Amino acid sequence: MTNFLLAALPIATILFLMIKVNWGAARAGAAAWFVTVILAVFFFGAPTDMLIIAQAKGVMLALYILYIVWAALILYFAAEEAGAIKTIGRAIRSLTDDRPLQLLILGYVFASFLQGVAGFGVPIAVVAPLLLGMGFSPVLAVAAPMIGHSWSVLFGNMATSFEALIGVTGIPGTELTHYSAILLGLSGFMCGAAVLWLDGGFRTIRRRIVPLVLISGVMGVVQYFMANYGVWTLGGLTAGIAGLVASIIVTRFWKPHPDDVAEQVADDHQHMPLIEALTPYLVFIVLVTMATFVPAVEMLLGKIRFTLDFPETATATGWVIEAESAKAIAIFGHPGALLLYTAAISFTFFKLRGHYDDGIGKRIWQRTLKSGLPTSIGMVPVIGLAIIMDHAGMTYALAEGGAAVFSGAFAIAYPVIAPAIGALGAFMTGSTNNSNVVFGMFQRHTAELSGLSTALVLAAQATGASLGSMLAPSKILVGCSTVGLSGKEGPVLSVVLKTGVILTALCGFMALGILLITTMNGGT
Amino acid sequence: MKNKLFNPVFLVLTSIILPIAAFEALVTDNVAASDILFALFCAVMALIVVRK
Repeated sequence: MTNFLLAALPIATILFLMIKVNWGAARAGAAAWFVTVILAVFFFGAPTDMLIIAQAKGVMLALYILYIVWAALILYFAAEEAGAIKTIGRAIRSLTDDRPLQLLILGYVFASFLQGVAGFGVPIAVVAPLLLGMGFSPVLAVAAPMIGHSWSVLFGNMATSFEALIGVTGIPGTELTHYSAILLGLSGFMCGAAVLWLDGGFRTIRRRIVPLVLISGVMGVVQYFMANYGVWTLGGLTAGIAGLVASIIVTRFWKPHPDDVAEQVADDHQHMPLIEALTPYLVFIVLVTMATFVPAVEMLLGKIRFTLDFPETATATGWVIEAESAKAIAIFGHPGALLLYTAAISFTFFKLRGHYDDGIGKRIWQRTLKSGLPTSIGMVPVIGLAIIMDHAGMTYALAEGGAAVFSGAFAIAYPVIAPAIGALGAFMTGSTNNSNVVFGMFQRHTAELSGLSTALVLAAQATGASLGSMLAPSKILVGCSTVGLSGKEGPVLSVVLKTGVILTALCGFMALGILLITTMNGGT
Repeated sequence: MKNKLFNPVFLVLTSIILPIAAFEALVTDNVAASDILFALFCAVMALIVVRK
């Protein structure tokens, strides 16, 4: 229990400093980093070598993410300066006059689609400024895609985090897809409801329950079938495309409530055809598709890789992390590189079409620097503390403490806590993938010891890890940097934390419900 | 000097370079250099905490 409380201190520190003291993520992260290092050395027996190795791993992961952040910012400002963002916002407004439905389509459906295409914070970096441009508050503009895209993380981005779960647990994917897709589908509905809730509480959900059920239902069902027919790598992408098609159809028949009609925003920019405004995103989709599905292109772009090989580490208490390589950064095939190519193509296109004034290059670079630097300062301490916690056995101590509550007679209720452990892992490591790697085997062992369905418990872990990605500080930093909230991430964290905790708890109760239903039906 | 220390570009670059340099020193068995570089990284973290 002492270890559990000590391991919780860094998280408590970062949350307290960001939410109560209103520090930015960089300052709070660096302060919590010191707390983590002190606890790791004096209470968990971490040697200096381990700290250095863990921190170097943290930098490698930070570089991986920062590559995307900087490229996404350049692309965004290139599009914004040309007037493309305003045009897209106007197009969504013309799709429907219903303001909450506009928020749902962009913050939930479009963000889920982008997660299917790219992931790694791209949905937030792209959608947050679009929402801001449509008149939503900066906090809501970041929080909506953070929450809206989270259900799509497991099967999005070529299902890399699901593959990680399969790899680490050794259980075939076909055994895990059934429960995972059901829990994610139901969680997807709740994510959509939560996005609507942000804009006006339960009344907003009640008034839009029909479009919400139709759109989330289509996405959930499509993802379920894709996952269960063995093509889980395309589960998130196809669900996102189906969601966009469903949204267009639904808005044709939907009449907005008079109270929720979007205000007409003053149009102060020269009009641009929608197809022109969408050029950056269409180019991006084409590039991602080519880099993913054309083996020759994938091989060519992936030739030059930057990685480091890390040796095994061990603490004085015997917690061992095996030797591993850092996540390789394919210099020319990384999502950040694809965003940079997109930015270069879009910039040239908009320049040729005469959408830029003089001195545009300098202006885009200055705006990118202003947004990117505060985010970059925070990334290294935040990710570093998470990896030090993992390598010192602190993250495991947290999970073990939570699981201990549900031992013995309470074992039947373990599915309630399983998603929370997954979400904790995603919050601490900033990645659903890492959460599945860190806690996959732990969850499998716990399920086996408790006599519960391994497939269900692992599905609960994976869904919790997916939902927990909305809490990842690195993603909050990315989102805030694009809407001018750098250094003021506290309010966003406060909103997504409350929502994330509720959604994860609901996911736990759904997993328990499934367990009870299958038990009553005599299943395993 | 104070402005240079709190310069965001300086903080970003040092927080990225120092841990990697410390790790490279560690794997080449240069423990003293590794410890010094990591101590410098700790100083950069302290600068981030006190930077407003």
